[in-house]
Amino acid sequence: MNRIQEHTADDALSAAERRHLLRRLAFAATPELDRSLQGLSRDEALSALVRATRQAPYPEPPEAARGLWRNPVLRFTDLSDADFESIVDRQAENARAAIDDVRRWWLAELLTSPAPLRENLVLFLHGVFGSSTDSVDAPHALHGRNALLRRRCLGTVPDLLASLVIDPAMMIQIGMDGHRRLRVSDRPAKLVLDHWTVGEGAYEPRDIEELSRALTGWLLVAPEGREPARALDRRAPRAARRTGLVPTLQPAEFDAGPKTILGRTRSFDARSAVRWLASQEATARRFGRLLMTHLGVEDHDAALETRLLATYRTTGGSIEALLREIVRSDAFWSESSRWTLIKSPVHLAAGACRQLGIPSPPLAEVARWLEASGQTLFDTPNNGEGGWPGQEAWVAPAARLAVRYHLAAALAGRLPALGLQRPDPPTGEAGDAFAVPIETALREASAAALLERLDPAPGLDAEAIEREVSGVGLPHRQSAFIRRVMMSPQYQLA
Amino acid sequence: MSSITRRDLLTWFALTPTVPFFVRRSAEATTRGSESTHDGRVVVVLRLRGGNDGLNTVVPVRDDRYYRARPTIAIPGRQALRIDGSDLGLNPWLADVRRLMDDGHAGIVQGVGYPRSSRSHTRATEIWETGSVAAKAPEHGWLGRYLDHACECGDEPLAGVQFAESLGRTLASASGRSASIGHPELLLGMDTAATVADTARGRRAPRLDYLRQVDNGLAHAARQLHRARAGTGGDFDYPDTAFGQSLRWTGDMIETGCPTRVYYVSIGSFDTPSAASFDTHVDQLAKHRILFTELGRGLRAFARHLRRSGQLDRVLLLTFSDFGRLVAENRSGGTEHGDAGLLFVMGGRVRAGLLGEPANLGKVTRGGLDATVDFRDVYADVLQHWLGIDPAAILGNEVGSFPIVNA
Repeated sequence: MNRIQEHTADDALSAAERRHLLRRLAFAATPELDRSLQGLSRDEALSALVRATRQAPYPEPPEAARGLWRNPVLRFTDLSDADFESIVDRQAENARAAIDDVRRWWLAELLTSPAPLRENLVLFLHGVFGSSTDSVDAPHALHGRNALLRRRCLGTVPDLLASLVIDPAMMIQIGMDGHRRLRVSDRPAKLVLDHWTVGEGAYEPRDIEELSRALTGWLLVAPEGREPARALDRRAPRAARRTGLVPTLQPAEFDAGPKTILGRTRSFDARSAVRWLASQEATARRFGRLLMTHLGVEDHDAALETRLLATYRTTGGSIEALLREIVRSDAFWSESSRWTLIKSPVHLAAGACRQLGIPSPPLAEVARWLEASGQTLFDTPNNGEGGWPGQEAWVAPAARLAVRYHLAAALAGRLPALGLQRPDPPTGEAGDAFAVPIETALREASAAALLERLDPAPGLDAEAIEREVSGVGLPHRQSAFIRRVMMSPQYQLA
Repeated sequence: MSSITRRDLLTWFALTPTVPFFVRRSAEATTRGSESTHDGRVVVVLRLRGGNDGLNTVVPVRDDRYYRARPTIAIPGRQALRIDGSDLGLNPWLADVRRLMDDGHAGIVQGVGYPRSSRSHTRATEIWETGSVAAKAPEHGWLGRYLDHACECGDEPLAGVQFAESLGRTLASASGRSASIGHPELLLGMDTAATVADTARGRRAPRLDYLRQVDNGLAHAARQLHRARAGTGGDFDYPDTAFGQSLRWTGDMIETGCPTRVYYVSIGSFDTPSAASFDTHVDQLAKHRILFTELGRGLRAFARHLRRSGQLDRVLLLTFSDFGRLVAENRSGGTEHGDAGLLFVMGGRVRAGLLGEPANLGKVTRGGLDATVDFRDVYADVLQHWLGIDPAAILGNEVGSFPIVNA
């Protein structure tokens, strides 16, 4: 195996190795994080990152998700069609604003939280299980699931799945809210099998039917004593009858009989069924592959995949143990795994903010940039049925690369007009001159130091870039340098 | 994780083979494009998103069956823009199109569809975009296949341009000679003159190489847009909408000799609930007023722009829409998905006026109008008499020809 340096797992990481680890696990190699790993081996370095993750406080919820959620579009029997439609129209706009608030809240965590490994894992899990604001527009539910992923991102996959299967956002998203004994739909079971656990082709049609029965009985209801006083229209869609977000088992609607799922017969319920599915080799293999893909590991001989399978089995699906196995592996450190990860748009933005020490990034502008780059938080592809495929797909269509190239402008709050409509005439400073709000300590940095901080793949010549931007007025020359680096293929890689 | 969409894949496949062209040819193509294609003919495809209702576009003003079927949304005969020598009139919001017809620069083909028409947007789009009704549609679009097999556009990587965030099926090609442009300002903001010494060249780095190649292609597109900024489109009254500005860019690119041979623009939106589309299930009259006004204004500006710049004779624009609509109105002031519809054509050498047979309301199947012109015959005429190639090579042997071009 061609390694970066002939270090063994027990040796202290070299500077290049520390940067490689941080680029992949923590969005970027900041000087602080780099210092914290000096003198540590692979194992110790991961332990340090995990420790920081466990010690970091959880963020307060966003404004839109505080207090008790009240469904604004309940269909009461005493409402006329016209009144109800008017309420629905008004709510659509309010819901968008609330979702944007939750998006900005998570974005702030991604860009600036002191626990980048945690946020990176939340991003990974968000992609694995998918999300769609078309189906889930309650800010409390979106925040709740995000908080759940944050709490469980270093735990075990079975525990995570047992929580997710009765998480309000997930119940709504996969259609489990109101999934009743005599009105069983295949959809929740198929989504759990295809996207959460074993994957397509690893089960029989009968497993779908049996799992569907196991998933029955759960309903989201109002907290006790908070039920609405007015009568609800029983014919209205579930979204217009949902009185709260408290998952509650309705015994009368649960199919308690024995079910045979992937060869085992038990009186499975939702949680025991997903735990059983989580224990399957196909789930373990799939989860390991997804984690390797997210971290950009090239496992050409599938040796790491085999080891991850064994680790999953012996640790009960511990995500921390899987991470450790990856970081211990030669595949992670091999030359062929270096500079091979095309950063996701979130990775690009989070890395840039951390590299440049931007304390208060313009969140609305960065969110707009993320959407144009193809990574809208809380909206994974195919209406939430699956995650972002990553790598080359980030620049397909090719025009997405042009969006990514304008990261510096987004960080400066100066993103050019998006879309096809004629842009408004420029106001303020003309042309490309804008200031990226970098930390004070970097403002006097040399071109070489700035390039080192931005940490692109090899191939950019600091002096050549410096010459290129020499025509830009002094106040903005450094920002022009940053812009030029971010507008390179090299900066797209980790 | 099966999350990549079919469209993503198409775009991705289209991109891959393009790469070597970008690397080898982009600078060369930029410099020779204007000379080699300035006299070449151009096709502009305009999609009316949704399924445009033909009966309220070309109105059968003397047919009582029309007025009985549409008690609240029929266009009164006195409002319609009457067509001399016929019992037909245009929707009153199509006055600009009517002027273009009078000038001999626009036509409307009536009764366009295909046998056993689909009323599903997804399937109908696939059929129109690939030019095939086969159960298993071709992977690439009808004009994408033209770019692959017959276009004399060399290795030009920007032979097709779609103004959209991603490339649809019509221009998808095996050779990847098309690109989507969804954010022109971002392309214009790229530093295409960068001369940074890349010390890593020659080092084995497949992903970096891939990104360099995509970068190279983008830089080529950006140079074309910079060139197009010298066009005079700003002097004309294009609507300040995504459609209007896409058409302005198209006009400017044609005027300034960009090497693109096929353009694709669209009008109407499915993406923004508040915006109108031609899928007029609700409030059809209001939506047609908005969309036809925008359409007419855009086409008029485009025609003036091309005529003033001496380009009108080398441009052919044709529209498509998923399907026509049912004859009878629904209860929401709209109409449901139907079958045969209309197709607009525009250019310096099109057959002007109303083409094909008027809608026959006495011949209705499942509430929809039967097709009297197969859309593939229209495509065949574009290929044969406009682009000068054998249509069988693109559409198969079974197509006929419906003339829309004065060759």
